[in-house]
Amino acid sequence: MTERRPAAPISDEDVMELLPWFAAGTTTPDETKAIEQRLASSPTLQAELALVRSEKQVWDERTEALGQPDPQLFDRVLAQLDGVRQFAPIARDDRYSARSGLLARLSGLLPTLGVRLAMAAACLVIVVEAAAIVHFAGSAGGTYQTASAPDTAASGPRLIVQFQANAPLAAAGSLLADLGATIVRGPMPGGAYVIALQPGADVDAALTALRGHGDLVASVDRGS
Amino acid sequence: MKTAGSNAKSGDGPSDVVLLQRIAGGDRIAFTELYRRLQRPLFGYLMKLVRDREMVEDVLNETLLEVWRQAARFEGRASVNTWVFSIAHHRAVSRLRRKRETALDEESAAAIEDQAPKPDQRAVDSDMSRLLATLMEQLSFEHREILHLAYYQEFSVQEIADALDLPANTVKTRMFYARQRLKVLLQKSGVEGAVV
Repeated sequence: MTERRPAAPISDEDVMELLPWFAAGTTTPDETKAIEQRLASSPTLQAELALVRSEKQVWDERTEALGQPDPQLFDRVLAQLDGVRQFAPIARDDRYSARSGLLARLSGLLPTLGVRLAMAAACLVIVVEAAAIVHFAGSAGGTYQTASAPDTAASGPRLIVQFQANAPLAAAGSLLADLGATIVRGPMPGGAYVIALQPGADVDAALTALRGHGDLVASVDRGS
Repeated sequence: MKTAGSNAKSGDGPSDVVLLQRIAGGDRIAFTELYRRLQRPLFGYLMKLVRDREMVEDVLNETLLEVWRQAARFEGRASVNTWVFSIAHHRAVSRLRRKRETALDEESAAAIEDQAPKPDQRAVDSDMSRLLATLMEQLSFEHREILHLAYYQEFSVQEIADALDLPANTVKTRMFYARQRLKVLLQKSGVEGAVV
């Protein structure tokens, strides 16, 4: 007879949180086992699971009924591809280099090589500063570091910023500098960046300031 | 309801990752195949969030162009599926914010709430599925999104965290509050025992 390994303890509150994923079959094997054990002895959780399943069924049916996009849509997308410049892969050394990190990230904002080169010059001061930070920190390559984020700012409140596609790099950099903000991550899919404010900074004021630059900033949200 | 767009194995043709690598090289056939796999789930996702068909197709258009543009920058930290949904999410949020739809969304949700079935209407509208569907549409953008990704798209907690760039615990908490809100709406509609 095979001895069954007991599942890790899990509270009813944890089970309640995970039931939507349990119903969809996307909990981990350990979670699934633990949830099944709790369900077996809890009419309350069984009732909750029934409600979750009803929600899922309704949501699935309603979504299926939405159908598909206009068949012409993809033809229109294909017709636009010639005007879209594809990004080249970021070399791993560049991606993880503290000295080139900021430039590599911000370069994602730039639509053309010519503009990129012009803006690279405008970024020189920032890069030099970043290099100095790395130098004084005694960086020993190979690990991820941010060129743009001194330790003080890195621990400050985070915001998620999406710049306008045509935002000039120098202007975007100046805006962040005015706020004492630095890029700590990005570009993420969709082109958004995570920026860090100085510790104790007024987040609402920063949000207002960024939203006030609609020519540079497409959207800004509080980060996690 | 896991639909197309999950990582296809051999037998379904090249994997999504292989398609994306080809797309990075300018392969339009690969792009067409990835679109064939993703069009329905992406369209359903955006329709649930944005609701306006014309705007949905605009966002879908932008998302596809972004996939084409950024294919070479896919790093494989998450699946192709969650990466593409992440792009769609950011595009939808950006578009809605630009049109100040977020505020309008709340206003329209409030308006819908006013029209929610009253207890004396229950006999007429006794179909629980219809009621649930109506009430789920009253949830906020964030709550509808989390329900959609977990229920229809069948993303795990971690996949949703990857797509929305949120901590896993925030994903679980957001789902909890989405469902709590739904229970409150159910209770207001006269469904007994909805709030545990």
